[in-house]
Amino acid sequence: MAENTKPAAKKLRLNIIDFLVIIVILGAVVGIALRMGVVERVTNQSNVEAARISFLIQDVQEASADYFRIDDVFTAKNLECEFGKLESRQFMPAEAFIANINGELIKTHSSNNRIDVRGTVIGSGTFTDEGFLLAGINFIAPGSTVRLQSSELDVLATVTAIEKVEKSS
Amino acid sequence: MGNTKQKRRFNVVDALIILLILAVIAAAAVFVLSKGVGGRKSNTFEIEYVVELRTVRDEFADNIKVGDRLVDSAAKYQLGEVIAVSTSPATFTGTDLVNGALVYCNYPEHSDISLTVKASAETDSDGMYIIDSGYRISVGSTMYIRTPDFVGTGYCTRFKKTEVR
Repeated sequence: MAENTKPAAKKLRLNIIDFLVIIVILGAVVGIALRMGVVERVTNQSNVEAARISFLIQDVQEASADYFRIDDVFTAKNLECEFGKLESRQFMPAEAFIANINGELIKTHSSNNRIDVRGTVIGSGTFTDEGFLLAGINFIAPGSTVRLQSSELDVLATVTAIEKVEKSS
Repeated sequence: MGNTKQKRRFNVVDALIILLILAVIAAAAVFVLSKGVGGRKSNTFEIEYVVELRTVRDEFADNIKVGDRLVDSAAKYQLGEVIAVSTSPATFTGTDLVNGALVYCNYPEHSDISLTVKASAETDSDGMYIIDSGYRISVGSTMYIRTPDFVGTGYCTRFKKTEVR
């Protein structure tokens, strides 16, 4: 008669190699998180405030003016985050710099149905000692070039100013 | 009936895992030590260098202030502290179409900005100057820079050693 013996449960024992593998995996995870700025992002995104961002769009066709509608939401395509809601816009003939017959550069304006657009959006981000982080993630400052997209528009803009929007009491 | 204890044999997979762990530890050690943690390198010194930004719109030509930290826009290297800023009208080189002479005039509503920056640097094995353990700087190099209130592109036009640590 064969004896029915239940095999003893195997105990899971960690040896030194298993322990080292676990440490290396944990170290890799922590390293990746730090390298990708995960900690920084979480911290910055918790201090998001409203910001008024001024921009300049140069030399677009005059018909594009119809697509800049107040309260339209613009996305910063190259930064993959929201840029803001259009608060104001002004249209003016596109500036142009041309050299005259004497070789001197003079400023003039296009008469070929091209315009410049200046405006402001109300966006959000974090104001830090190193500058403004749009959506708490992406650094922008005057001089930055941003590809703006709305539901009907796709243009290149230059940031000209950023200021904090004071909360109304 | 005896209990035979299964002997654990050291095999190729175990050897590969140990090699991998040793490689990761060595890489981490090189990374940490190359950042200079815990000690000064004997060839660290202070430099001052000049960055010229050309044809910047006047509306943000005054955005860079003395004391601003200069950062590389691309890889976020810390490039030093701005210790002097000077602006001048941007220049344009045109041609007089009457006599063919070169004409130098101002570029309307634009300025050239010259920044003097102070930074710590070291030399690499090729003798090149390195800032923040990774940013190679030399006269003529294009610099994509940012400060808290400005982003732009310029060129390093001068630098000098000021102090050996």
